Amino acid sequence: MPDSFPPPTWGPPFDERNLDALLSGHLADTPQALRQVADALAALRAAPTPAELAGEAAARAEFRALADSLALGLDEAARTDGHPYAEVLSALALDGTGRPPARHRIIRRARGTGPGGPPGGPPGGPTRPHRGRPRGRRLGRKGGVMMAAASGALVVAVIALAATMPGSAHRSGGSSAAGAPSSGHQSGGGTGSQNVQAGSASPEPSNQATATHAAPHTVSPSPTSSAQSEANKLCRDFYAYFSHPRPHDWPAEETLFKQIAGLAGDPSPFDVNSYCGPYVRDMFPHGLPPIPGFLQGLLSGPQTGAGNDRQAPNSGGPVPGTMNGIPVNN
Amino acid sequence: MVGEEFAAQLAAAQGGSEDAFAVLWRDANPALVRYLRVVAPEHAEDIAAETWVQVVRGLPRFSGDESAWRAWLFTTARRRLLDQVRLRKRHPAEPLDEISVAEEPRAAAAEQIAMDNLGTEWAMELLSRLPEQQAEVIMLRVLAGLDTEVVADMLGRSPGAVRVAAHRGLRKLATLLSGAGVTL
Repeated sequence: MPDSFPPPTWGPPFDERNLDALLSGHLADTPQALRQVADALAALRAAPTPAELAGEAAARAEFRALADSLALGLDEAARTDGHPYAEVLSALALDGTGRPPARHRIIRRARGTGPGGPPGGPPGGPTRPHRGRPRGRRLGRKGGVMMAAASGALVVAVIALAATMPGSAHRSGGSSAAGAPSSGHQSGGGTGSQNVQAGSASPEPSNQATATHAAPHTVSPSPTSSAQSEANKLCRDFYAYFSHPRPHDWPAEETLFKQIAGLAGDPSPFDVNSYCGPYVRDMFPHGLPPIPGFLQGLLSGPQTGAGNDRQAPNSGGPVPGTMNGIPVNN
Repeated sequence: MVGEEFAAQLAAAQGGSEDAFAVLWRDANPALVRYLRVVAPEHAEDIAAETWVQVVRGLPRFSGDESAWRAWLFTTARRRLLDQVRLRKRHPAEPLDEISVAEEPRAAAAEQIAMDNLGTEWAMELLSRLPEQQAEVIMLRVLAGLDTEVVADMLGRSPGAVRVAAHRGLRKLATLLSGAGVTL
């Protein structure tokens, strides 16, 4: 039989379960070593002091202010969308994050089409209109500027292309004079420069097209429709000699030329290309052919202004296969 | 804790009842203020007020039980606290004459408070001697009534780390109490 007490246990007087119990508020079976700790924790949970409740009035005021602003904003939103207050409030309650949603998001949520948004925010925040710039509008403005720039560049490109295209001078000249055949004139030099380009083009429209094509509606070379049809026929007959490979009949061409000039009022000098352009432009998509200088000079009296292009028919006419001294493929 | 009446009080407060909100406030504000006095003694009152402003604004959107309510409240307070800390770091110095009465050093106010409730104040002062994280974990577990997982979520730590921190804090608290020979 031992004559002494057993040695004391020097291990910890409490374990982690005791600590967990303290943290959870179970203070009944607290070990003696943790008794003071349990008392301290109980003191932390003591009844509130008057100082700790002194801010109730301020908190109530904040609550009232927010309730008023929320009710105002929500009523406004309800008026906008026709939703009652409670419906919008429930839509707000669906939020789970903490920041005030923008007003358009609240309205969308109240409609049931938008996703949930963040909670929290200043009083009246939900009714505050979205302050950011609309992204789509900004992009639309940028797109409009780009579209305008692209349109301008396109116009410039078309103008430049038209200026560099072969025969463009004919088309522009024809169209510019088409509206005023009685007063429209082109210089001989201009015609001469056109000859080179048109002579190398040598379009070959068919005779059927020559017979069936009508005058364009956009021009009115003469005041009456009968005069228009006659001018159309004469012009097309005259230019038919330049649109197919048959040999020229210079006397017949001269007769037609004079008839056309008579319709135009015998102007001097007479630019047949300007006058007949509206009628026969479809026959020569690459530009009207050059008219021999001797024909141009028929109405200008003495041989002036025609220069080297003028060749009298009685002298044999122009050399076959050439036009204005330049070889052509006809 | 509000207890079984919590859901009804919350619903009434969300419906605009000021009295129901006052019930929630009276239940939670003392614990909130005590928590803040431990973790941010110089700005506890300000942070508590800012916290309630945030809570009131988010009240219509809150949904959950009382535990979730307290977790939300203390999470909001902690975010306000971090904002305050960042603000103080950016603006560390303030003229003395601009310090309001509410921001006066705690020692003077603590004296008056200690007269009102010596035990609570002494306990908070005792917890203030612990390392910051241990004191915060104990306050959140004991005062706010949050479980380990919720506290871990708030602090961004693992539940095991929170549990270890709480245990170490309690052990240190026991050591402090036994060494000082203080009895409450």
